[in-house]
Amino acid sequence: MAQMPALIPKEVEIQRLKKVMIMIIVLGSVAASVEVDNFVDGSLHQTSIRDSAFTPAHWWLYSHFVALPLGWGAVMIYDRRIPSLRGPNNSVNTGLKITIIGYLGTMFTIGINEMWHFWFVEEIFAVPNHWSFNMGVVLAFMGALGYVVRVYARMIELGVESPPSNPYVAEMYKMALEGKLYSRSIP
Amino acid sequence: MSKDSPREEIERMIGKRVENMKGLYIVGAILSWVATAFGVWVGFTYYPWAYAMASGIFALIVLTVIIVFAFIFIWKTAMEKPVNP
Repeated sequence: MAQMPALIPKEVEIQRLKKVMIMIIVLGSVAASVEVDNFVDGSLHQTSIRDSAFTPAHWWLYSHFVALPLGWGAVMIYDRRIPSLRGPNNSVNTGLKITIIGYLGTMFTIGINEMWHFWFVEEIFAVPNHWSFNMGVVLAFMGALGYVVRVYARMIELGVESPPSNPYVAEMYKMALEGKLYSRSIP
Repeated sequence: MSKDSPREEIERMIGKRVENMKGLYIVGAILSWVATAFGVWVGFTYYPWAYAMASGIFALIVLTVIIVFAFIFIWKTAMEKPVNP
């Protein structure tokens, strides 16, 4: 695999990468919880109109739209201490950027959604005000996947984790270490 | 210039090591389970017409599994020794 220059001592970088990985595990389990709530909220809306925004399924759903952006924001702040995770021109990592943009879109949609439901009390899944919830979350998940591959690839390079035996997967990690997360041309 | 030796400087850069945060992981997992159980209790207490107690218990079991998986992965990440030190 490509060797990245060590700008901080290896031991320090390993500890920091592990802290980022732990934050990602916490945020991943929060995201898994919101997937469960999609079914809970969906089943409520199969049987009930939207009498109020303040149902338990909505507390569960909306608290994630606060917790996940805050958590990824914390990752973005801590990420600055790991030079090998920086994005193009020393900016924020591209995967993290996409994740933050996705969750910003989702937060914006909370307001749009409430304005829509002021007039329409149905909760049909495919109404336009729900589109950007789904687009934002999918965008955020794609960015997070790119970022976690980048973190894991660096952990393999530093000898913390075993390298993959599948050559296609190894090639993917190699590209991630070269800063090419999404294609050979987009950094 | 820092007066620390290279070893001391590295320790200062690291701060608290992930291996030494066991209390945080255990207390965090317990608190997240308690918060989850409280949320489920609120659900079937105040909205019994929408959330029967059996549904609440089922949701709590699924969420407990998610918390346990997260705890195991965090513990593995923090405590595992490097494969290639």
